[in-house]
Amino acid sequence: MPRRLRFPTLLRTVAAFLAALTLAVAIGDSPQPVSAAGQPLRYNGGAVGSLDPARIGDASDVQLTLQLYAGLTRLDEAGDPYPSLASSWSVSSDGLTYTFHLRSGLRFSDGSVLDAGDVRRSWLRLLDPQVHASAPDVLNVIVGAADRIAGRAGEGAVGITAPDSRTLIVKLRHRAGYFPAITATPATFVVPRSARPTGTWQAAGSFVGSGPYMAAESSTDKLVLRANPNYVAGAPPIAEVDWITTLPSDEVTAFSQNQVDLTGIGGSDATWVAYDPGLGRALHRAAALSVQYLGFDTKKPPFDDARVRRAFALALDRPRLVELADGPAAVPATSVVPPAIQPPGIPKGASSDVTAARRLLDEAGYRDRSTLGTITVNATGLDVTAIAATWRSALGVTVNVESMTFEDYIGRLDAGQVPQVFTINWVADYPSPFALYDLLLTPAAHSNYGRWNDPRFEMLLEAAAAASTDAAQASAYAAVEKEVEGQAPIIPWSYGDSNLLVRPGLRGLGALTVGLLDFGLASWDS
Amino acid sequence: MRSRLLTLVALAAIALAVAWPVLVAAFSGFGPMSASAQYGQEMTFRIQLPCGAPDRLELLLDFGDEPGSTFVAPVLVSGTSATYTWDTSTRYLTPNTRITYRWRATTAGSSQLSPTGDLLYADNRAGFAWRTAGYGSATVHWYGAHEDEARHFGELSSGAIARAESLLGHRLAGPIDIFVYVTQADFFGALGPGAREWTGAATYPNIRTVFMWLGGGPTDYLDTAVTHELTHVVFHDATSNPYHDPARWLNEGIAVWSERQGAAAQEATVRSEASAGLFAFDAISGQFPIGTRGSSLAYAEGTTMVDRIIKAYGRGAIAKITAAYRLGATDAEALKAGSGIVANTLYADYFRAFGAAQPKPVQPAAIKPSIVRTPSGPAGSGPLGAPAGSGNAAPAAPSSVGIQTAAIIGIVVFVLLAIAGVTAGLVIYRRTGRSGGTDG
Repeated sequence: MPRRLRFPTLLRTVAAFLAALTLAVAIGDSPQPVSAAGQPLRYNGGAVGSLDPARIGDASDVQLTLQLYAGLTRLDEAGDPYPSLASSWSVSSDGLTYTFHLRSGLRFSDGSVLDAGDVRRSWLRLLDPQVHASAPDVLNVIVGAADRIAGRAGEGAVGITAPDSRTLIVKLRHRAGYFPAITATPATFVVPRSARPTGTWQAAGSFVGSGPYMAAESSTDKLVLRANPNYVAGAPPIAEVDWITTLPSDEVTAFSQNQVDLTGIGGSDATWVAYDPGLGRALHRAAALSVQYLGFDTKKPPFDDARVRRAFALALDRPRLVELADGPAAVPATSVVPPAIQPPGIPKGASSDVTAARRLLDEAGYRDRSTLGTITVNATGLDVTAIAATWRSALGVTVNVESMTFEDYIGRLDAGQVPQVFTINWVADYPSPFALYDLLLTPAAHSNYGRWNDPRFEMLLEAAAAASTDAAQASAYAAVEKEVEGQAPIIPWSYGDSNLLVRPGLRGLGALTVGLLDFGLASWDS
Repeated sequence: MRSRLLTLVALAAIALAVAWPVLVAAFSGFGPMSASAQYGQEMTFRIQLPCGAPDRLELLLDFGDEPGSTFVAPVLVSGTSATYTWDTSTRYLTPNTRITYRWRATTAGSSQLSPTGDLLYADNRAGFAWRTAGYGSATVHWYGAHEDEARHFGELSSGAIARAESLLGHRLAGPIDIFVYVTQADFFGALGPGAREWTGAATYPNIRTVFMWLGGGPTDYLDTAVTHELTHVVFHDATSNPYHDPARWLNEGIAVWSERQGAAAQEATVRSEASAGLFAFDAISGQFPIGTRGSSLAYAEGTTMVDRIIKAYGRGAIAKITAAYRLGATDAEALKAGSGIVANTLYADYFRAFGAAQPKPVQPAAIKPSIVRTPSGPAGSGPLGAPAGSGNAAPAAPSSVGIQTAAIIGIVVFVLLAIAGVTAGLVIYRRTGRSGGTDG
């Protein structure tokens, strides 16, 4: 809604309008900077993993990449995509071709030109099998992308073209109305031409990016991010973000002693902080787009048999065990899709049935449980003490629990060295059910660690993605979920939550459920 | 001809199958292995591999005596040996942790385990010439000229353990070590990062170890601290189960109550804080608050609740509660098992008895929306199905080709308007907002 201004005198009108015109002409195609002053934002970001969008390893890396790079779109405070490097886009009538129109005058943080060719190059780099990117499959919906990731096709086979410097045309395998949400995923953000396929090519101080901030300085306890004056939306209101990597104490103490302005805290601290007269005002809790799940190596016995997988799933009384492990406020998972983005009518998961579980194991040829051997569960992603105890007592199986450092664990999974049962805490890449089903369970997905391959599931999922009405989509996703539950390649365990301590006066953090803190939108109240 | 070829292939396959285990067994075993540790610096594990490297070598570590998760570390082989170093300056490990280690070699999918070795990660910092003395189930460890204090703690231990066993209805499951530190730096150096500043003694029941700091308080405090910490170990044994950690307020409440077999001082604390608001018991079932008020109130609430349960339902109620935990009960179920009362009723009665309102969470301050303008997304581009037509969006930045064009048009319009305005005194309207944006 335009604001109507009334100018009292002609002279003032002329002066003001001339001034406005002068500014507009002077600015030309450069973004108009917003105020970039005031106190730094001190964020407890944790260890810096990588400054490369192709090397995102965990949620902290996603958060950092979001500050350092920009993509065609970005998520607003409500979690909806809005045009960022793109000014607009159009979709073909069959829904399979997206034509993105980029803004003019786009620049990387060092002032070099950023155009559609850079977007194409960045996406092809993500898909390049030589790069071994951590999340290339986020672009799997693009024609030829999966084959390129697998090394079965060259760049030319991928449906991404840049006919001119401001146009990017993307061909999709199937309709995907959520594609603008995919282009808001930090893994797809645009890297400079200096990006190398592998190795460390970015460093604080010499950093070149496309996002609201630049990595300026690094020390033992923080990474200093400075506002990028060449950012598409102009320099963000907060001029400096101190990405704290090491706190001198626990998070709550650091916040209460004014050593940090924004920090996540554990659920066991959040329970008491919520009642604390001082800190309680600063505590913000929200359901997160995350799910903890157990997965099976579906390529090797005994979990190549769906009856065995389902038996292990049915043995677990998830509502009971999750409450015991994480308290009455914990939410047991009924699907791999978190509640905030669950399609309506999705099945709520089968109840525990130990008798049926035992029968399934018998039917699968494991009446003598010792023939199952020792089942090894890697618990790096989830405490499985209660789960292992239940399997032992309910099914009479022998279970060995192992854990590793997170880096070793992810390295193992990425290398295809999958434990019989693995555990993951997964944050949705973008707010759509497809982000979970596609990236965790389709054969071409890098993160389908259990190597489940179910053509029927794929067919159902494509039908769900292409569904064009609410009712059709709900019905299609219900069929998808039913197939997952029946085949049990994974056991959804519980949904995550987000507990943040936020310094009063900090604004613009957006929907905490989405979980992406875009500091380019944040500011301090004056 | 065809059948002969098939026969040859089959024979070759059989030969390969017979030979395969031999090839797999090419990794014929492990050589000598060893481990050493320097507290606060590192633990080092070494293995000789005289017959060469397997495809994959891993070190398996089990901590403490309890079954749990085995830590697995991939290790690279260098020549005919391998070494794994755990940097304990960055990856803290509690002193007095007993580690059982094995090596696992995997070749062609077949794994082989080495014999097990043991390592005690002891606090062997310079200047700590530890001496020990046994007192029943407890062994006290001290350094420097503080033998009398240490032995005093040892003498207190058997009584404290016996009282805890009686209250909790369960026998101590194994021996306990008590380490006595002289200075705050020595003490917190053992506890590692994250120890909260008000800590004066600490127990790690999973390794059955108590850490005491002589400067943590006056003598009578230290005496009660021994009882307190040893009660934690018995409580751990009495409630141990794979499903659920008992409520912390109950664990701490029983430990504090055991110090003086009562809750007089804590009763006063709760009464004095009641008007300012108490913690809900579910709020202090996990981590305890930081800060003096929060932590002392949490301890006091736990202790006074335990006192009320004992007075109302007898000491046997506590043993029933711990027995329920052992079987995998929730907090509410365990409390009901001990008291016969629904937990929420128990809580409500408690708050009523102290004249306190039922605790409610503090309302968080609203986070205001961003002042940065973002254009809204294109119509029809939501998560449901692709839009059939085009989806255009307004630009995010207040500059684009559109602005240049608008500026040129604006100049022309302005000149015309100015001329007209001079003549007619027009009111000018100016659009400042953008489609989908908000006005700044």
